[in-house]
Amino acid sequence: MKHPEHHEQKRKKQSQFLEVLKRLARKPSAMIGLCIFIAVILVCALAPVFAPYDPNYMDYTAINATPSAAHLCGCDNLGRDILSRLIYGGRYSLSLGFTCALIGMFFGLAFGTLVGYSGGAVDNVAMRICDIWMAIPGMLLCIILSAALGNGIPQTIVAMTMGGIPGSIRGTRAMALRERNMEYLEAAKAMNCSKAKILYKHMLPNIVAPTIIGTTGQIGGTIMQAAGLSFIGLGIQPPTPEWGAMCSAGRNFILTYPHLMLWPGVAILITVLSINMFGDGLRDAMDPRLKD
Amino acid sequence: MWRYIVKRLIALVIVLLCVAVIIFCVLWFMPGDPAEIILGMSVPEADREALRIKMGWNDPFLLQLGRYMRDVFLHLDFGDSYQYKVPVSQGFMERLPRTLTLGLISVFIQTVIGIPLGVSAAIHRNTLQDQGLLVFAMVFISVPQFWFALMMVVLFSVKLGWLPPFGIGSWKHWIMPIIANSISGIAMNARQTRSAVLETIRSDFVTTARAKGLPEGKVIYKHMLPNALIPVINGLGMQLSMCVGGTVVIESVFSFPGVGNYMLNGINGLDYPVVRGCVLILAAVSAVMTLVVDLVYGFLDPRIKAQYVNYAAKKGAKKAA
Repeated sequence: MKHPEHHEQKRKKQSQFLEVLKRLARKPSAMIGLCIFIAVILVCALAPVFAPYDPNYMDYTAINATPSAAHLCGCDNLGRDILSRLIYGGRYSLSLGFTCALIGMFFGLAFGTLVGYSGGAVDNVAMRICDIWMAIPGMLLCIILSAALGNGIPQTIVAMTMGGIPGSIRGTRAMALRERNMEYLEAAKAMNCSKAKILYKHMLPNIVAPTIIGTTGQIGGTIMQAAGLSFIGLGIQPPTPEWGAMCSAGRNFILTYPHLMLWPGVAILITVLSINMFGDGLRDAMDPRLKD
Repeated sequence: MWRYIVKRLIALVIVLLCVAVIIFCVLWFMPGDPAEIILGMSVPEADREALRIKMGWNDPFLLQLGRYMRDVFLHLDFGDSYQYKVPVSQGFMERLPRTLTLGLISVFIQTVIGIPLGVSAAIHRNTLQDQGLLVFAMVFISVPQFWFALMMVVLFSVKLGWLPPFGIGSWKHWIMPIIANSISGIAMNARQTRSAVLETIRSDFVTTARAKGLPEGKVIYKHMLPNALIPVINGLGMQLSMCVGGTVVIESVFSFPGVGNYMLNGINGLDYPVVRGCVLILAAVSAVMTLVVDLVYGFLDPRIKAQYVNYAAKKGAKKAA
C-alpha cells in the first residue's frame, strides 16, 4: 500500500532536514557555539580525567590562593581547587538545565497538543488552569516551591519544572491550534484514524521540531535560573559544587577574594552563551523566511 | 468594552482566590516550626505549644485555610509578620514603592535604549554596528544577572570606589541595581526589535513606499516602524507586568530594601504571613498591570479593539448558527 507520492514526500522531507543542517553548518556562530558546548559537556562528563584535583580535597596551604600555574583558577576559602570544582559542578548545572527543559518540553508536547487539538471545554479549562498557574510570576513560583520542598537536586528540578510547564503547554497549544485546521489532519480524519493516532502520529511530528528549537533556547535560561536559585540560598547548596552555589559561597569573600566567584560566573556565561549561539543558529536555519 | 473589562475583573478575582489557595497549600509543606523562630529554643516546650495553640497552628488544615482566605479577601488582612511584628500589608507597602521604582525605571531604560539600538542595527544591516550589537546582545542575554551585578560591585565599589556597594540612600545606590536589572532586557529588546524591523523591511508596502519615491527617512519612520514595533510593544507589556516580581535576585545582591528582599527574609525566617502576602500581592499587581496593558493596546491598536467589541456579537452569532 505504498503510493509513489508517499515516497516522494518522504524524500523531500529528508532533503529538507539535510538542507537545514547545511544552512546550520554555514553559520559560524552556531558552529562555534556547538563546539564549545560539546567541549563543555565532554569535560564535565569526563570530570575525573580533566579535573586536576579532587573537588573536595582541602589544601590548607592554598586557602584563597589566587590563580597560578598549580591552580589555574585559584583556590576557594577552604583550599579547594576552583577549576576542579567547576568541572565537577558542571555536571550538576548541566544536568539540571537539561532535565528541567526536557521535562517541561515533554509536558508541553503531551498536554499542549491534546488541549489544542481537543478545543472546546477541555481547552477552556486547561487554559484557565494555566492562567492561574502563570498568575504567580515565574521566578517567585520557583522560589516558594523551592523553599517549600527544601534544598536538593530532585526538589530543585520539581520547583523549576513547575514554573516552566504552563508556558510550554501554552506554546505547544498555539502550535497545535495552527496545525488543527491543516488539510492533512482532515485527510487523516477522513481515513477514520483514531484520535490518538491523529494526535501523536500525524500532528506531533509537525510540532516537535519547533518545540525542540524552543527548548534549546530555554536550556540556557534554565541553567541561569538554577544558578540564581542556588545563589539566593535555595536550590542546591554548598558544599555541592553547583555553579550558582559556588557563586553564593564566594559572595562572602567578594571584597577580598573576588576570584572565588569570578570563575563560576564565567563558567555559566560560557556555557549559556554557547547554547544560545547554537539555539539561535538552529532557529534561523529552520526558519525558511530567513533563508538568504 | 465595559463588558470586557468587567469580565476580566471577575476573572482576576477568581484567579487571585485560586492563587491564594495554592500559595497556602505550597507553604503548608514548608519544613520548620515558626514557634521556634519566634520564641527561640531557650524557652520551655510548653510555651511554644501555647503559642501554637494561640496562633491556631495546630488546627486542621482546612480550618486554617478558611481563616486565611476570610482574613485576606473579606478584611484585606494578610496577618502580622512573625519577625517584625507589624502587619504584612504595612511592611509590604513600605517597600513596594522602591521595588516598583526599580522595576519601572528598568523597563523604561530597556525600552528607550533597546528599541533604538535594534532599529539602527536593522537599518544598517550587516555593518560593523549591527554585528557589534548582535555580539553585545548575545553576551548580555547569557550573563547571569546576579553575577554581573556582583562583578560591577567589585569593579565600581571595591576597585574604583565610585559607587556604594549595597543598601539604599542617595541616587548613587540606584545606579548598579538598575543597570544589573535592565541590561539583559536591553539586549533582548534590541534583538527583538532588530528582527521585527528586518521582517518589515521585506514587506510589500515598504517597497511600495520606496517606489513612490518617498525619502528614506519617511519610509522608515512613517511606514516601517509603526508596523515593526507592534510585537515589540507587546513584549513591553509583558516586561511591565513582570517588573515587580523579577527583581528578587537583584534585590538580594544589593541588599536593596524592596519587596523581593522582604519575601526572601520571610522565607529564611519561616515568616509565613510575609511570604504568602508578598506572593499574593505581587501576583495581584502583575495581574492588574497585565489588564491595564491589554486595555491600553485596545486603544492603541484598532484591530485589537475591534476584537473586544465584536466578541459578544460574534459569540451570539455563533450560538444562533
